[in-house]
Amino acid sequence: MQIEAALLCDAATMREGLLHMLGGPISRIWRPQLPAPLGVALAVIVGMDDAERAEPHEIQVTVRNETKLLVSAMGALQVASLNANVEPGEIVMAPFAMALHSAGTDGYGRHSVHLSLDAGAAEREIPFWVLHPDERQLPPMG
Amino acid sequence: MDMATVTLRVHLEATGEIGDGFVWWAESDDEPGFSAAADHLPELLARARAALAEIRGEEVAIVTQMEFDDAAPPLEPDPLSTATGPSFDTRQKAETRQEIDTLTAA
Repeated sequence: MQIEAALLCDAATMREGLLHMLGGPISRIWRPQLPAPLGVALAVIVGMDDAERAEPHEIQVTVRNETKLLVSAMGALQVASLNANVEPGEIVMAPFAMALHSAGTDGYGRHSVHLSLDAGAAEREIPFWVLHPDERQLPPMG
Repeated sequence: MDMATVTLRVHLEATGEIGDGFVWWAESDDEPGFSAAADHLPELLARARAALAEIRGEEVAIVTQMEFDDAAPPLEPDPLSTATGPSFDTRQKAETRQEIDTLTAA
C-alpha cells in the first residue's frame, strides 16, 4: 500500500471512486485574525494491490501547529465490492477526501498534516503555513 | 482446505479528550459473545482472526463490515461517471478543539 498523492485544497469530494479536487495544492493560509478556521480539505490517493484490497485499512490524520494538536481523526478505507473489474496485477487507485474546513488554529507559523495508513505502514507529512496578510508583500527588487 | 467465514462488525470510538486517541472494537453475529479491541485496525483484525481460530479450532476467513453509526453516510453512486476500478467506502470520526468548533459554528 502506498500513498500516491496527498495534498491540501479548497474542496474535495468523492463520487463513484472518482476524486474531485478544487484549488490545490495549498501551502499558505492567510488569516487577518486568530483563532480562525483552516478552511481546507485533504485529498488523498492510495495505491493498493490485490492482497491489500481484501481487508479494510486504517486512516489516521492529525493536524498540528507549533504548540498543539488541532485535529485528530481516524477512519477506514474499504473496497465496496470484491467483484470489481480489476485487471491482474493492477494497482488500484483508492482516493478519499477529508474535510478540515471547520478545524481551526490559534497560532501563526508552520503547521502540518500527518497522514498515516495502517498504524504507520505508509505515512506522509504535508506542511503548510498560516500567515497574516501583511506578510503577503513580495520582497523588494534587487 | 475450506475455511469458516466469520463476519466481523467493526466499530470505532473516540476515547476521552482530543489526543487521547481512538479504540477499534469488533463483534460478530456468527460468534455470539465474541469481542475484541485494539488501538489500531490491523492489530484488531489480527487479534480477532487469532481469537476466532482458537474458538473455532480452525483457521477462519474474516469479512469485515464497518459500523460507524454517527459517521458520514457512504457516497451515493452517480450514473453519469464511472470509476476505473472498484469503488471504496470511507468512514471517519474526528476530534477538533472545542473552542474552534464553537468559533466556526458561530
